[in-house]
Amino acid sequence: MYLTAQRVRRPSTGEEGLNAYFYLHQDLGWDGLPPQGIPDENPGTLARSSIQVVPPGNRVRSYLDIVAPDDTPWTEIRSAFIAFASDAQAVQMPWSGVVGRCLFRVEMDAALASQWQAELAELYRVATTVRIDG
Amino acid sequence: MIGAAKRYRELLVDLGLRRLASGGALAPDVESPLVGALDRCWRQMTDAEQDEADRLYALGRHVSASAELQLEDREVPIGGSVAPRLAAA
Repeated sequence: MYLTAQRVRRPSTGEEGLNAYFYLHQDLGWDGLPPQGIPDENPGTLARSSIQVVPPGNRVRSYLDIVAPDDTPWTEIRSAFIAFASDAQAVQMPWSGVVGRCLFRVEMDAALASQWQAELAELYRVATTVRIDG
Repeated sequence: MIGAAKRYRELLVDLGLRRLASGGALAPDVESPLVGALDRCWRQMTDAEQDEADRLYALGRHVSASAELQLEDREVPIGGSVAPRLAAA
């Protein structure tokens, strides 16, 4: 499962919004690090999306990536996300880390990073809305 | 106490997420147990752990990041198998 939320801005109009995507990897499971290539080369198959600003060509201002086996309970992902976020804040972005069998990546531009807690929570909220319960 | 400092940081993140999800403020019966747990963790932490928590909190308010991400989005149809962003042209 690859769940990602990203804040984008349309360069020509300045329109801004949050888009989210939910991919599935079907029967592919793992413990610890996801198999090589996930999510960049192998994001899975897009099952659902939530679009506020229609792509393509929008600048990405921030994103949150969540990667976990398809059958991972949301309670496990949430706990892992909290552990990840609580340890990540002392280092420079981009943030990347694995907690259990969940991989997280976060990056945002400097303007958003000045209020990163609110932005991260908003990305997380949007990501949860596009997810399909297994 | 080993573990209290980590638990303290996790509780802070949890509290932040819950506050945002509820529009900024939590009902007292939700917030009080979390704040109580934070307080218990704080009292279990050593002076050095408390200093480190304060330092991390200050750092966390000034996270370093690039001025602009060199990324742009792309269209992905349902059933598609490409990531929704790529390096900006």
